[in-house]
Amino acid sequence: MTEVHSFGNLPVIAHAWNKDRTQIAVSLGKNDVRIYQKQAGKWRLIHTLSEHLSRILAIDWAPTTNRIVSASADYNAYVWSFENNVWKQQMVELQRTSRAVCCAKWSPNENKFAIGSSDKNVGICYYETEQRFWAAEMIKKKPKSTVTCIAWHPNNQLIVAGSCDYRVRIYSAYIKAVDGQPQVSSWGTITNTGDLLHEFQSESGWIHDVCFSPLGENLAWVSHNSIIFAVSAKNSSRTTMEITNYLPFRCIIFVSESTLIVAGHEFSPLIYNYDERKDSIDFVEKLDQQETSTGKQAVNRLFDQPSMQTQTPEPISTHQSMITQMLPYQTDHTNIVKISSTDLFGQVVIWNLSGRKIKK
Amino acid sequence: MITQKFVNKVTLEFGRLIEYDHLWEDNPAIKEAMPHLRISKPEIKKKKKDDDLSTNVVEPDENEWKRLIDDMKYVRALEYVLQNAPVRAKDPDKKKKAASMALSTMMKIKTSEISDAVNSIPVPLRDTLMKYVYKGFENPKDYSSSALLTWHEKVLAATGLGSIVRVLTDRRTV
Repeated sequence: MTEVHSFGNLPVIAHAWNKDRTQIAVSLGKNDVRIYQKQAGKWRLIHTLSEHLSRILAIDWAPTTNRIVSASADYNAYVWSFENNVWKQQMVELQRTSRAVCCAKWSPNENKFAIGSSDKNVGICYYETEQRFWAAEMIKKKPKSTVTCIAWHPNNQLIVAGSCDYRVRIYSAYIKAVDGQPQVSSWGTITNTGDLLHEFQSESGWIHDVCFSPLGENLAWVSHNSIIFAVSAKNSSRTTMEITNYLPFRCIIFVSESTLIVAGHEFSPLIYNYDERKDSIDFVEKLDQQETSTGKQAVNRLFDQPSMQTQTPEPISTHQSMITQMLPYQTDHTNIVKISSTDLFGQVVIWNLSGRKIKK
Repeated sequence: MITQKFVNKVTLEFGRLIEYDHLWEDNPAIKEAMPHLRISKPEIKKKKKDDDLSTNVVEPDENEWKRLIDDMKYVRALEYVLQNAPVRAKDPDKKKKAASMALSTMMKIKTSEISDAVNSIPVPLRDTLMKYVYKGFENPKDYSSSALLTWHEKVLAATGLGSIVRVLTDRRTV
């Protein structure tokens, strides 16, 4: 049911899967991207991509074009393509970015990627075929602080960026040279690159992660004040808040149009349901429920000694430290059926969502 | 004296106009070397009006609060102060006055009644209540730490760790 993979004791800062999930690219907090392949039930290191001069903060793997983008604290991002059994890097020109690049994400059509940096820059990068490098269109209306997370709308022309200035912003990511016609979206008309379409607040908390729903109608984000926010394109002036009793969440993912999963300092991912009409985000269940019951028994036996009996046995959760990132692992039409989550103790866990109370 | 060596190394590395970084002021070595390096002039940023604060500034009316205290409606008085807590104000005196109102009310409520008091405070105001509990901890001479610890325990039971996180991260302080 739940698969647990271990990559040593180093924290898994970022991870990305290839198309058929046989390979995984991870950043273990070092200056290189490590690609492992599943061989005979074990993960073997097959490639190491070392070009960065400082730790890698984000990785994204485009499944169809088979390209990897890596963002690092050395102010750079690189695009890697696989030719002749070797991963070769391509230049990415991020204009005037003089601080760490915190996040990087491929667009749904994989012809562009967006980056966010610590020096308030949000850039949309596309390939300049004549000069053979990746050029960046930097957004003029910059956030006022570090851009921590970026997500793409399924129409390939909108991005949302979350920042440490307590705001979430939807920008137009339309690039004339690459996209054909600007699309119509329920979030507003797209005309130029970098137009600010919407700005939402987070009640004084750094935004840790932001996410669009599979069809792009809903948007949700988590911030450091333990609150989950969601808003719908049908009524973009009304933001729904769920003030939780848990420790802050670091990542969020929509598994269907109205169900989302959050994870972070609370060691288990949690399922919530966003009801746009009722203006509520309701808690459904913890993903880690089944594991705790078996964990409890084993722990109870261990603590049978009289001297230890004063301690309340804690259920052993699958993740034993903060969850850093969650990605879709397997999709069924537009809904996500399996997700992968990584933590600071080198674990990558794959959760099966079948049988959970997931609403469409 | 590391200045000259540092200057040489930096000029070799960068060789051009270095962008000013205000964090360099904290490093004594760099600060010492700064007159010798070619650094751009620091931007004097105009202080922009903070959007999050100094809007909707409310504060609890002392007379209204006194009226509730005299009537012995302690929980209602506390709820009144929390409702009108000057979280968006920048004036420290306003905050001090409201804090003393809130905390003195909390000290008047009997230990055995704290649990019921917390449960009757509406959920959106419980975060503000936790902020005042921590404010009380800052003045152990004026407010009984043992009473505050009981308040802390009861509020925590109702709101969980999330409320403590919000006390630490929220810019709207009490």
